[in-house]
Amino acid sequence: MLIFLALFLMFCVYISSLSLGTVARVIENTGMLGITLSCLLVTILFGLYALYQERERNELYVIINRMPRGHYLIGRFLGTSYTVIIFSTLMGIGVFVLTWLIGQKFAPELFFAVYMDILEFTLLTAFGLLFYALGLTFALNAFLCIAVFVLGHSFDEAILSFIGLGQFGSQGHKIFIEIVSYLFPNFDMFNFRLDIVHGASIPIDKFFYASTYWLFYVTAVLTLSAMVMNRKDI
Amino acid sequence: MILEVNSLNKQYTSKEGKVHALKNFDLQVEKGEILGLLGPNGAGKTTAVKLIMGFLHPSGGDIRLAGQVLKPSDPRMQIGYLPESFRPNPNLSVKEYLTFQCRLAHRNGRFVPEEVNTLLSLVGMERFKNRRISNLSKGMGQRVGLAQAFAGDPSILILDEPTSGLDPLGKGDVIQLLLDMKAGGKTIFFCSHILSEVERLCDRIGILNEGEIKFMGTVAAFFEKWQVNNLEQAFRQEVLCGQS
Repeated sequence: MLIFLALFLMFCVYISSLSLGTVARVIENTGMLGITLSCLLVTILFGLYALYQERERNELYVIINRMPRGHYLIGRFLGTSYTVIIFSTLMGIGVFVLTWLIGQKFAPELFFAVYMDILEFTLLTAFGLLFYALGLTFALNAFLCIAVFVLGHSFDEAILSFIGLGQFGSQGHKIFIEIVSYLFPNFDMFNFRLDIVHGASIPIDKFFYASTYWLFYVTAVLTLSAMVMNRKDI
Repeated sequence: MILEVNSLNKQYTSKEGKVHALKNFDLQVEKGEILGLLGPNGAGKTTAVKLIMGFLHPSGGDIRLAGQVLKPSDPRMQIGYLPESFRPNPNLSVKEYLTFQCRLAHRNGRFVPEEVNTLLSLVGMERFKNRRISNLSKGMGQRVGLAQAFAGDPSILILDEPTSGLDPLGKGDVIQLLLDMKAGGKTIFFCSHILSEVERLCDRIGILNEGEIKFMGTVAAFFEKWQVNNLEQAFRQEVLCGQS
């Protein structure tokens, strides 16, 4: 995290000489992108990898001997979420300070983006736990988490394209696409980066809608993970 | 009787087809005894232990602890367990790790910090309590593993190959510790393929081969069965007889 901030500081100083008066916007945009990518790494390398290491050391057996498997998954979810919260908050503070000092812009709305990143990556953690409960290897789990992340961010565009194609297809095709759109996580719902960069106002109802969506989705994925893990041989 | 296993079966499907890993496995462990389960590699010892611990779902049979039926995947708070090739979290100190395990063992009750000190002195690790686990030798790591198995004062200890991977000094330490536990009246069930430690520790032994119990009784009765006075010879006869 310190390396990220140091590199980011050097980048900001360099870019301020090139950006023709849009320094703040460049710092905000790149900073938020950096936070997103860092949180993705934290989720996979700190969250998921630790799970597999525990299993490799046979320490998993000693822990689930003393607690229900569902509680173990929830504990792991909360632990990884805590790490994501700390990382993203500290990096958000760093980007906020750099935007203020170098970009000459006071932008508290950056913390809204940090909050959305926290929701996004804790939801991704829940998916990682589901793949773990299914017995996938770490490499496959990491790959699928990245795939879920990428597809989740292509959602709005993909749905529009499919619906567009659906106008030339059957009603069944349209219904199928709508079902997929409800089942698959939509990470675009947590993406307000462009609104923040361009100074657009953030509708408060979207804030509550995204939070509610997150709560129900995380609950469903964690419940499913616990059910799967209880039925599997370990 | 502390632990009772009745007609435990485990089948699963692999690339080679259906595998019957455990067949009508019966076991009774009396309070205060040490029962050793012996068998060659691949006999099903770890499968039997994992079924008892609820990590695997049985294809048939039941397991009772102090008369109560144990359901698969439920936690077994009354059983202290040490898995095979166990390594505790290397990033914690010995004391931190045992504190964590004691808190887990007392999830439904009150955690008493003094228990950690008791566990440390039980396994002779007081001097190393602040040492990081990554800096411990394998024998010391195994002692930490045994200590965590004792957390919460369980009714029975189940140990899977407790001396696996240890040098002769480390093995001696663990065997002495188990003998001390036996003298203290602890009930222990453990798996091993090392005959010398089984002979030294166990009140009774079970011989498992190809998923089936071939013998259950005292070491003396086992010698009498094969008319030998050496556990290795008796074991070899039992295993070879089963294969012919």
